[in-house]
Amino acid sequence: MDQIVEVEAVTKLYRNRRGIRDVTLNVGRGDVYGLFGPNGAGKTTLMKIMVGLSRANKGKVKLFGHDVATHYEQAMGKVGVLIETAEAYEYMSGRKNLELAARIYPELPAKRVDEVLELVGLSAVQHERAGKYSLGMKQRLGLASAILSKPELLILDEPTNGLDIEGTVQIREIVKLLAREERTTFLISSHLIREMELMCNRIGIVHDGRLIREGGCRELLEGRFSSLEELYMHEVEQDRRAMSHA
Amino acid sequence: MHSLYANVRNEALKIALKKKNWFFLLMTFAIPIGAGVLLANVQSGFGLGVMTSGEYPIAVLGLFTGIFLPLFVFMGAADQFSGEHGDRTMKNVLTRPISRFKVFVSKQAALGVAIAAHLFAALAGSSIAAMFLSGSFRLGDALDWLIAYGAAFLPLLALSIAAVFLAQFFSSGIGALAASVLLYVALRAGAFFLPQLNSYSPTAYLNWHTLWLGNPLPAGQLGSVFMFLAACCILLFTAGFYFFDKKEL
Repeated sequence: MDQIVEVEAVTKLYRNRRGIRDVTLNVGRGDVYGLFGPNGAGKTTLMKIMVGLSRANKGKVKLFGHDVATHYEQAMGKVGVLIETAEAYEYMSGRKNLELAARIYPELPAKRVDEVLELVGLSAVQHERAGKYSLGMKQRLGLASAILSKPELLILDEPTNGLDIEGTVQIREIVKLLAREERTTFLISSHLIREMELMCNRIGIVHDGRLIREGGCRELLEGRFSSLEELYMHEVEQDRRAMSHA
Repeated sequence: MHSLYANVRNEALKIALKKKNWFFLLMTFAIPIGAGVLLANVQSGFGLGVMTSGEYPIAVLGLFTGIFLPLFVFMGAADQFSGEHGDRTMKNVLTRPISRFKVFVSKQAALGVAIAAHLFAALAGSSIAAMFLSGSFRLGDALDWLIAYGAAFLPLLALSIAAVFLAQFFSSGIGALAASVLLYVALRAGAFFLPQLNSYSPTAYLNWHTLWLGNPLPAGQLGSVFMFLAACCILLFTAGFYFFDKKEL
């Protein structure tokens, strides 16, 4: 399969020795890949390195075959990003925030801003100052900004953060819609395993800064586990044992 | 290059959409008019002729480049860099297909556009005010004003590049603004006690425009100050970008 994301032995350690160690993963075209792990496991660190917000101590990340560290513009050309909580320029309207982002993409039709506002359900409040938006509305604006350029790869870090049930379902539906209709590839992180189960066809389990298991959802369960939650608990226990013997 | 032009527009728009920046611009336009009208009334009331209409815009520029415009420059640099880090909105542009170098250049360029807008507003305001003062209007005066206001752009740009460099060490706009103002005051005040400081600080050349009004033009002095300011711009721009590029979000 055509590999869109290639992460090769990436290590990033902070001064407190936390971070990620020797992570290797690949995401193929059309995959909805879920990076699952508890808070602090290293998911956001890995995603930040993938999009150039942070730099790895060792290893390499390629998006669409381009090294993020050396060919940033080419690597990010077809990528949409939502990292951590979405932040908007609060003194501008939601619409103006999107228009600013749209200007970077010369091929984008003018009506695209209207389309994404409609898709995330913000059309009615598009002219209000983003500073007046609720956390959920800001998160939806962040998602609108990420999908604005019709990216072939969407990197979403905890996209349902701060959303109510309706908002969470809506995000899930958007992910499914884009994956189905536009063959968009997704790399999504979450600490909510139920979300992962409902959205993703491949899962990577991150624990203590390492990718301890990855694969297709069905093949990971192998008939031995009734849910990803059960699988996760088993893998983490195995990992802890292995680390204590090491 | 499209992304660079697009982001210069975006960064300029960000400056333009903040109300406090409009307030500053309005003040830049209105203060010279208010002060000019006041001065005209005082002069006619007391029968004095302290300042003529030809001198007024140059005097205003001297005041503005010393106090008011540096403050705006520090505020702009703090907002554009450390302010965006503090608000966590910097990632909005850094996760787009545009290199960090282009982001840095576009932010700096937008700041340059804002400085030019302020100089234009101050020139317009002081030119209007000059009509209320005594002394007849001469074309040569207007030419001097244009040259002086145009020349004032370079030291203010150098100051903005220095402020941008300083802003890289702060993660909040207020911290960067306070540090810039304190450092500026320290350098200006320090020059009274240690005049050698003036040789090494771009803050000492904010009145560079006055050199352009000399007759004959002091070409040697103009050339050496220009070289110094250009060197400051290049060094501080390079150092500023180095830290901006290394910054992790």
